Amino acid sequence: MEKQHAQMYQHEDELVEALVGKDNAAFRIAIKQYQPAMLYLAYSFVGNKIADEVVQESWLSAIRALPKFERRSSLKTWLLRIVANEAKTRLRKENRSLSLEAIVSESKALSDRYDDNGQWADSIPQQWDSDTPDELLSVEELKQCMNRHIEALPALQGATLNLREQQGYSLAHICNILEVSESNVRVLLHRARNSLFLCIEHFQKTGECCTN
Amino acid sequence: MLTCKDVSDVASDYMDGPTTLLQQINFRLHLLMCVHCRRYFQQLKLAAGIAGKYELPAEPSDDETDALISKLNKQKT
Ligand SMILES: [Zn+2]
Repeated sequence: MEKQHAQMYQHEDELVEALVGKDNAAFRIAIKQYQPAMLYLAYSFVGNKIADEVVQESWLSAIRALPKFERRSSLKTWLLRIVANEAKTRLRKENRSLSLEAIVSESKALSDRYDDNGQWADSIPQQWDSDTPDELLSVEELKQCMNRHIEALPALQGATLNLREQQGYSLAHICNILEVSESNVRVLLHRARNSLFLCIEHFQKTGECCTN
Repeated sequence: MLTCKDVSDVASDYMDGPTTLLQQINFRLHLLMCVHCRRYFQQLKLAAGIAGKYELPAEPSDDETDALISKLNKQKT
């Protein structure tokens, strides 16, 4: 059934046309196809509890705005951009911080480990028990810890990490979806990756989860 | 010459390439000579790789999909 449906639209343009025409079969295909990525992006911003709501709102806005969709990006990228916008609006309403400054203020944790000449001084990186992500995640406590840590990342950091590492988007696409500059995307990735690094390192040293 | 601190500043950038050729040479040269940064960079990639291991949520069920479709249909345009 699904396969047949998917073949009904050879090109994305045809799917878009059908969605504009409020064709239920087209709705079904689009929802099945794009909802998982939309939901996942919404999680990074607003957490599990209200991600569903944000995604539903996003679909409503998307279908309203679709006749004006200029197709300068793929439908999926465009939908994710709407999700990011809905999520940001939601966070603003709840007065949760979104400003880049809050994110750009560096955690001192890493930079304090170099001496005045920029050489490693204190707590030089030590060998970890595992050297693949799968091996690391096979330790249940660390897996739980990483889940919590990733969920607790500042909204834009979590979203950027998700789009880059999990969904494999290019930096240019991420700029488009999140409406931030490329240099800010780079800063966000730098922060997020190092934050994960420090969290794993802490676990390797102590056997306990970082407290964020 | 890059310092170890410089390496940590650009390591994440380096993962997203492409940096300039000169930057690449400097970065690679430092890693070649510095076991600590080599380890740091390898672990940073590992940490980033973990974020890539999370699976997307499942496709919505037929019931959920139908409920959303009926909302979309009710919406006035
Ligand atoms: Zn070094």
